[in-house]
Amino acid sequence: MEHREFEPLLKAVGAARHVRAPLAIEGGGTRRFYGREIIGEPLSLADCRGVVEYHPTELVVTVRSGTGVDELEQELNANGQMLGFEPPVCTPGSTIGGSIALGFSGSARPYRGNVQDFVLGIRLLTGDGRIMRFGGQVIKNVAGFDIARLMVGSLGCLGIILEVSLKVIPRPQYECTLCLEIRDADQAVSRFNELTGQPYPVTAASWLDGMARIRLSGSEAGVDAAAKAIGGTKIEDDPFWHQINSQKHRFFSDGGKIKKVSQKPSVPVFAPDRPVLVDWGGALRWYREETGEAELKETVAERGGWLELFRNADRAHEVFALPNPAAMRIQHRLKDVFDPDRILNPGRMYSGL
Amino acid sequence: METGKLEKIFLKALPRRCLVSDRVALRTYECDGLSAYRQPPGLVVLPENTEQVMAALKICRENAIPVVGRGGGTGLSGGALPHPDGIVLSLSKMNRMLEIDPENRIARVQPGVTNLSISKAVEHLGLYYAPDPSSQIACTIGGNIAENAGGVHCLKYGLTVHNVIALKVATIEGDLLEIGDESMTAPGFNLLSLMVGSEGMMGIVVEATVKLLPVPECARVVMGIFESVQDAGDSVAAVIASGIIPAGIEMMDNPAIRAAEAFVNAGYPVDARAILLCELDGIREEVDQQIQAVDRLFRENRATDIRIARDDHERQLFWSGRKAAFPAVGRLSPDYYCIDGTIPRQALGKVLTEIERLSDEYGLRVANVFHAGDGNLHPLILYDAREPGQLEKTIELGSRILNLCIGVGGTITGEHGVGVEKIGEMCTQFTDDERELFHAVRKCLDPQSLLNPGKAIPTLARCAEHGAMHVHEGQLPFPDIERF
Repeated sequence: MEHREFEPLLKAVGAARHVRAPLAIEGGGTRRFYGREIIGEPLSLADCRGVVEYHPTELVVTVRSGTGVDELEQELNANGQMLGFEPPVCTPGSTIGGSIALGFSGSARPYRGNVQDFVLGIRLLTGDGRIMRFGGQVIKNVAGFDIARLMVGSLGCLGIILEVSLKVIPRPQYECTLCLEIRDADQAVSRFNELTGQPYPVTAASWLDGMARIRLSGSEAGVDAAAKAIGGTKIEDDPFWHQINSQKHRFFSDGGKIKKVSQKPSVPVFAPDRPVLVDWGGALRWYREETGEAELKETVAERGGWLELFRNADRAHEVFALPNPAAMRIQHRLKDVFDPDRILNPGRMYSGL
Repeated sequence: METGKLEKIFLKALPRRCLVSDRVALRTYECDGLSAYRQPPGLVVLPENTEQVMAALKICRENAIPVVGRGGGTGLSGGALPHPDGIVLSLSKMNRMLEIDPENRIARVQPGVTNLSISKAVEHLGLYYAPDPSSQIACTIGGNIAENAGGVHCLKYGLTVHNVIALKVATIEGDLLEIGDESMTAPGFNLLSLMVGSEGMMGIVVEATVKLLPVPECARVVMGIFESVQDAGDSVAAVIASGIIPAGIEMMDNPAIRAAEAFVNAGYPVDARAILLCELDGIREEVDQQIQAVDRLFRENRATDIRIARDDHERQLFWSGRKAAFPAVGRLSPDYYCIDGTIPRQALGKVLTEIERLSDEYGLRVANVFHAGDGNLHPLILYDAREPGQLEKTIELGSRILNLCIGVGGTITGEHGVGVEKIGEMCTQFTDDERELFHAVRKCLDPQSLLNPGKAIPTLARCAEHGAMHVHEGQLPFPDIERF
């Protein structure tokens, strides 16, 4: 049996299914703050770990879901490679499976792609106790429906990710950050838009407290040429990117409510006079306690986009925006297909799902 | 349902100009780019707007009429092969660019817009739409989405799934679903990835928002000439290991080189066992540096000669042979059949040796072109359909090549889709559980299975039949190798 090593997890799901007891799927348990409140018996994937296959020249790594993100990154780094989506909000112990299930993408999201852009294949344990594989280990593959990418951001509500194959990218030879003093958030974003429309090797663009930062990555010659054309103060190894990626930056650190708003980059930044961190070249705006839920809801209703209550919200209620009713109906049907007894992370994404 | 009856039902909701019922005209729609499979539809419906699409789907739902969506009809897996009792829903009249937004670098288009016309429409802004299937002059964005179309630049710029950010989809249940979002995030499960590549079985795309990228400042191409396919494969691995991601890296074997050279005089060395065309793009300074690195790496991997295109004219010339490879091979033989497997690149030597052996066994010539960066292999089998039994033999050889791809850890289709063509091989690549799940997921969007029925995902019964055939022939390669 090719799935034998997953026997304990299979048994746990079978037992829970038998009594219809909810399971709280857990990788490293480092991101329990996210989503709606957690109910159910924890089911740990800590023992489901290790790199299964890694051929750097194929640009593909296959890894068990309980593998630490830091461990995986180290192995890739030793081969001059990295994860293109720069898994955010990781602390020691955060797992790759958790990162896929949460679907967070780092600062390079508009330039290199989001999590699903790097997912090639998956081994999945569904709520009705079946182990299946979708996608594969090659970059181009259109056989069958894209169940692997469907799992990204599904918060473990559709299945337990056992193993994942990811496309990796070469670590850039050279990287630097250009700091430009731009007082106004909207002016910064329009500068980002202007730069991204030109063939510069931009891999991140962020704004905070009157300072725009633009990260360039590539060969030294290419980056230098672009840096000269763009201007600003050039810094190498700017710790800022790691700080916002891990949310260790002081912006996030007061323990208050953190809200995430995603909008089309050209949509004016709401309440720029209050603390706001702009990332993704303008498409992502982080807000703190000072900016209330109600007013953010109003602005996304008016100007488009989505609001997510990221940290320290009232988790008994919805924390994510709801899809429209037709789309919601499909979400429920999918849940019934993958998890007919509704035992996998019930309610973590939406109440009743 | 017969044509007359269908026409009568659809005339109640749609103007006559939107229907094709003439027996001769229906023949135009009897196949897509895979002309070995033909079947005229009962009726063709050509909606002019979203309301008409929804009206047509409503009729189909209420009368249980199968619907086959169709874009440019250039697909290579028979995905748009009509259903004899159903309609073809051709989106070709919905071909308007709805919005170009240079600031956010996105374009909102109707499904019938051709792939290339998007790039043409934004050329003056220094932008383009990245996926470039070879049929891009004729294929439509709706069809590209249904098939998750690729092209030669996928390794660096991704497939359709990486370049579409939002869709409006008319469902057979009568909803207009908005999937994905221009803000780069969308709530709920990731339906966007599920919809892309679903081969017209989950809904009809009526609007798509696609990403636009800045046209690279500079693009240059290097041709490497090799005495063995293995050396060429090693060179590709060396380039990637060095941290360079080429915009495109294409390999051709000797039969493909000879055919292309005879056709377009691209200056290819006709005695070479393999050539590589490696295109690098980006900032000029970076490209210049990378060209030197690729030149060195090719030599280190036993290239017998290297040519760097001196200017854009020569770059186009180098590419002209590769771009004309299919029609060039077509000149060698009355018919050819294109296979679309993907393999891990490290298995290339083994796979090509085995293809050569199979080619001898079947007495059918095979020329290979290879998207070497992403492992997508296109063996072209040369045959003559007029000779009794040759088509069947060709299809069987194709199937053996696909099973070979599965055996080395690859897949039966990299970019053409399963359609009707590879439905048997789906039984080998996926288990009963997996295929059953595909059917269940499809029913979440199409409970009556009216959208493109019989395509892409085989039924259990069909696989039982297929399995029996394979055991009988005893030809399933590498049965002990995992196929993830």
